[in-house]
Amino acid sequence: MEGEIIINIDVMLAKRKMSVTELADKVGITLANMSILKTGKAKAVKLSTLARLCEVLDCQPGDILEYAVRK
Amino acid sequence: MEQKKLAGWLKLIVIGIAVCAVYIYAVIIPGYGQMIVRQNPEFGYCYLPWLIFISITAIPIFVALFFAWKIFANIGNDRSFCKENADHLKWISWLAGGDAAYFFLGNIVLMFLNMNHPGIVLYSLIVVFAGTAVSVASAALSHLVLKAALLQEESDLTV
Repeated sequence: MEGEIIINIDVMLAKRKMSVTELADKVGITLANMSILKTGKAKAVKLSTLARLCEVLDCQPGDILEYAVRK
Repeated sequence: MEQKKLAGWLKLIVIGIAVCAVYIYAVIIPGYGQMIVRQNPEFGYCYLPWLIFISITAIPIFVALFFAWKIFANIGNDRSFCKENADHLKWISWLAGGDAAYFFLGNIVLMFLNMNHPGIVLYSLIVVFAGTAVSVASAALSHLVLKAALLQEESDLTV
């Protein structure tokens, strides 16, 4: 069975009371790319992007990344 | 050169090739055939079969030019490396290869029908080789464009 990495930023966004637009702006990526990330269409995430996300959301990678088996 | 300008020039070349092809198939080939018949009336019975045989080779050429137009339109829309272009190039490869095979087989058949000469068959191999070369080159380009399209998709979806 093939697995996939799911990026959950909605929970952290709610915790930090931040909008998607604000997050995209602070991380330094376009809203389109943020949408790709949120909707699970991203094929790869740069470590630098992941580091910026954790910095802005004040969290660990494990807080926003989840491994799940693809059904 | 700007992408839209490049696409414009490429489309112009397609139009040029199409116009030349129409002129060759509608004027030069029938005219040359009639000249041969005038000089050698004993070959009169060969004129129509040869004209039909050669005219049929025009169909894959114009279909290939249509696909080339679509490829250049995609280039103009900043979609140079896409699966659609790879498919169009594959079609062009099949059309060129098919046309070359048809031309070779047609020459052989006409020879057995006493409407051809072995020397002409040998000369026709030049045309067959040219068609095969276009077919192989298009197949190679199709493969490379597909690989580039996959790389582009991966890059576009890398955040």
